[in-house]
Amino acid sequence: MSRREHAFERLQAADPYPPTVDVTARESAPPLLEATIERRENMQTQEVEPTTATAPRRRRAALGLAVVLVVAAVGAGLWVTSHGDEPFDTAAADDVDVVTEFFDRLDAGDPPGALALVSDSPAIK
Amino acid sequence: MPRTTPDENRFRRLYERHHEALLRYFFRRADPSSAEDLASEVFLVAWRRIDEVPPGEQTLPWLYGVARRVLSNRRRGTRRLGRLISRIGSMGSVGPIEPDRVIVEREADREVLDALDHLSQPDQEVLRLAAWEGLSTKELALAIGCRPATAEKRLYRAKGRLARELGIHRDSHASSTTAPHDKGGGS
Repeated sequence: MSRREHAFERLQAADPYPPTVDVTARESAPPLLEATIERRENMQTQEVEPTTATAPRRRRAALGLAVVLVVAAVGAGLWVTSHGDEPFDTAAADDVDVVTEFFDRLDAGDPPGALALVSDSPAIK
Repeated sequence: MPRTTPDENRFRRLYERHHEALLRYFFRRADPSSAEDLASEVFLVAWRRIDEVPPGEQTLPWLYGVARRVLSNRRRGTRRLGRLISRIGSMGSVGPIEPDRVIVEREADREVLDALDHLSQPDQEVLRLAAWEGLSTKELALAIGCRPATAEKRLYRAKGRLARELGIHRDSHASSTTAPHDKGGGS
């Protein structure tokens, strides 16, 4: 016999509760059977309550998430609005007039003039 | 007398047929005082999922699979409780449930159970299910949730590791009995 099978046989022999030992003698099975059947029925009744109890919680969570998303969207919009002109906003304080003039020329339909205005500006470079 | 449904009839038959086997399963692995409680948890799962319980010869291995998870949950709970108590520091730690130690008196059995303790939990479970619950490879696969070929391999390897552990134990036992002489004749 291999070492493996020998070890396995020893384990079989070491069964602390072999079939010859009666394990049911100390307890009475029938009442437990009835209790188990009854317990499932109780659990089924109880299971209805958490479902209804969690529904408002889910609604609140969804509402909270929606509020967070709206706030985030508004925040992102504000940020884009305030930082949309980033390359020009980085201009030094002295160059603010140049930037204003640049946009005025663009609005007036004079892009070459606008480019000529800023081409020598250190803030744009 | 209240009328019983077909499900209830089936559950009653299942309970009567397998209750003792499940009890024995827990007696072998858990504190005997909680065996009945654990077995009833398994039957509660079976009762709630009566439509999923496989018929015939597959029923008991399926129940052993549930029992394995129930026991695992209980052990996790016990470990958590042990950690909590040791953190509080007022009562000492709660050791793992080891009923085998109470029952087994033969030295040879103690040795093999000690060797079993040194194996991983999955190895222990595969060996116990095969050796004590007497499951075939197919049934073992159903109980541990894998393919029969995998179950066979796992059992084969677990047997090998048990044999090695028994060898190690014999060696360490021999060295422990010779240790005083070594000490005396040492540096």
